[in-house]
Amino acid sequence: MAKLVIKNLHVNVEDKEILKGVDLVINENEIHALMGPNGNGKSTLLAAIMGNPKYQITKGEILLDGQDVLSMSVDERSRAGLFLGMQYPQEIAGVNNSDFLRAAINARQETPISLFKFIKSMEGAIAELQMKPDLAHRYLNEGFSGGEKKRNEIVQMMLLKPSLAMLDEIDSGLDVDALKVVADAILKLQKESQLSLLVVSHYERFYDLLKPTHAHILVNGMIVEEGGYALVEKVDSEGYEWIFEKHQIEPIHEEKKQPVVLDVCGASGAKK
Amino acid sequence: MNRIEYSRVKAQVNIQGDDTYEIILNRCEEVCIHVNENIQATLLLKLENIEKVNIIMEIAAGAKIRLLHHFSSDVILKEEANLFYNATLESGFYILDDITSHVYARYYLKDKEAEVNLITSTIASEQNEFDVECVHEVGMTSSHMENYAICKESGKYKIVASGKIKKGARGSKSHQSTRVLTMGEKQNASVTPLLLIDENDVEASHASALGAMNEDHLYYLQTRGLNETQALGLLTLSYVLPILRIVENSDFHQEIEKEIESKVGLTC
Repeated sequence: MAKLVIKNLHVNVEDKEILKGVDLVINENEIHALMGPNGNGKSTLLAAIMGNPKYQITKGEILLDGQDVLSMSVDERSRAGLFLGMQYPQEIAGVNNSDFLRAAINARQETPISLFKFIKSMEGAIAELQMKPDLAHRYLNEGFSGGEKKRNEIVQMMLLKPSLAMLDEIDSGLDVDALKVVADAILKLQKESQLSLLVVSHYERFYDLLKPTHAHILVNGMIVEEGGYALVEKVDSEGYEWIFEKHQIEPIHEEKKQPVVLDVCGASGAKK
Repeated sequence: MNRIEYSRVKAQVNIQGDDTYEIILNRCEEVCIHVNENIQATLLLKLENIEKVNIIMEIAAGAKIRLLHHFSSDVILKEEANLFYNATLESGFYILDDITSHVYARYYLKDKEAEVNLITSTIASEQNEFDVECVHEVGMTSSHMENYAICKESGKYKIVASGKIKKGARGSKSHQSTRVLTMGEKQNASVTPLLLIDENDVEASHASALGAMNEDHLYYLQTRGLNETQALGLLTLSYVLPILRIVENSDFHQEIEKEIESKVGLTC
């Protein structure tokens, strides 16, 4: 069972307020789509729920089955049932997938998983995600393609069996066939374990496979529009402009990184 | 597996058969190891009650030797090895205990096709120094050094790793890499990679990375339920486990793997 309740959540990143009062309730077995223009707070919300130390909660509360999530450390949140499938999974050289996952599974149960059971589970998840069998022995995400990294996030989710999973643009980097494989694996796990999902994506194609029960549009740090799957379809066909007009709001425009301009070096200056 | 203990000041070790050897050196000050031609053997060299020791090795043509050095108390170790035609030495040093150590090692590649692969894994909590050099005396020889270290709070780690290719040693290959993870502000880590090359027709490279724990790595592992100690343990393992390659498929593998896991506070 998992019920996530977020009340009036305000989050700062480097003293800049990104989330400005988010309210959200996710019940067991529900799939929530979280959409919105780039740079308006979707990933910030997911990272804040997971407890990323770079994000400061200035106001509000997050409850998971009535437990105060904000008082928990990152690993406690994970063991309580939260999972974050990341947009940019870390590459960690030297740590192989199987050592890592076995340690992660053992961290959430009193008796260590038997080697036989672990290998069977891992091989099953790898096969289901149609990944290469050597995945278990490769270093964590090192040298993986973008799509492999995303599928590896789902392998981890399947083995750790969370009660509420947050997937941050897990569909980016996946080709059409891989997208179907990933969506099928997510839905299978959801059916087996009543998993709740909060899914960030820009593409209707992924949502079409998952069929979210709820949809939320996040603009300028606030959820401004909510609905069912029809809202996903409307955004896909009409974009966000009608939402800006309806609510008289301006989205935050993502800052483009400026190219690094090299200054005049001493050698060329000396020639003058 | 053969278990041999030497407790004389001078010891002569002859490796004459393909096998696995646990060699205990107790109070020895000078040790000569001779490996016969075409022998394939794995040696675990354990130093006990030794403060200072000189090891001289002769590895005859065609021999393939894997040698892991284990010491658990303060030691100054000087090792020299001569490798002849088509001989291979895989040499490893691992230091997990709170000890002070100084390792001075020289590997001389004296005939073509001779090869040395060196791996060092160190958790430096006291003072641990390495001065290692692979000397290519003739052509078509190769050396590869991989050094890993975790420099703990107030630990001191120093390594000078040198690949030396002499004039005329054409077609030789000398590669090395060093990764050092620093913890705390009082630690002191120093890495000096050297390539001393006196010949044009060679392959050589060095790479080194020295720095603090990547906070994003730590966060990633914690999001999967590992607490900080477990996450640090797993990241630490990545600096120590490469040493197991020296004893792969041998009787020592499991024993050393367990020792490493218990020392870093993690059982996978």
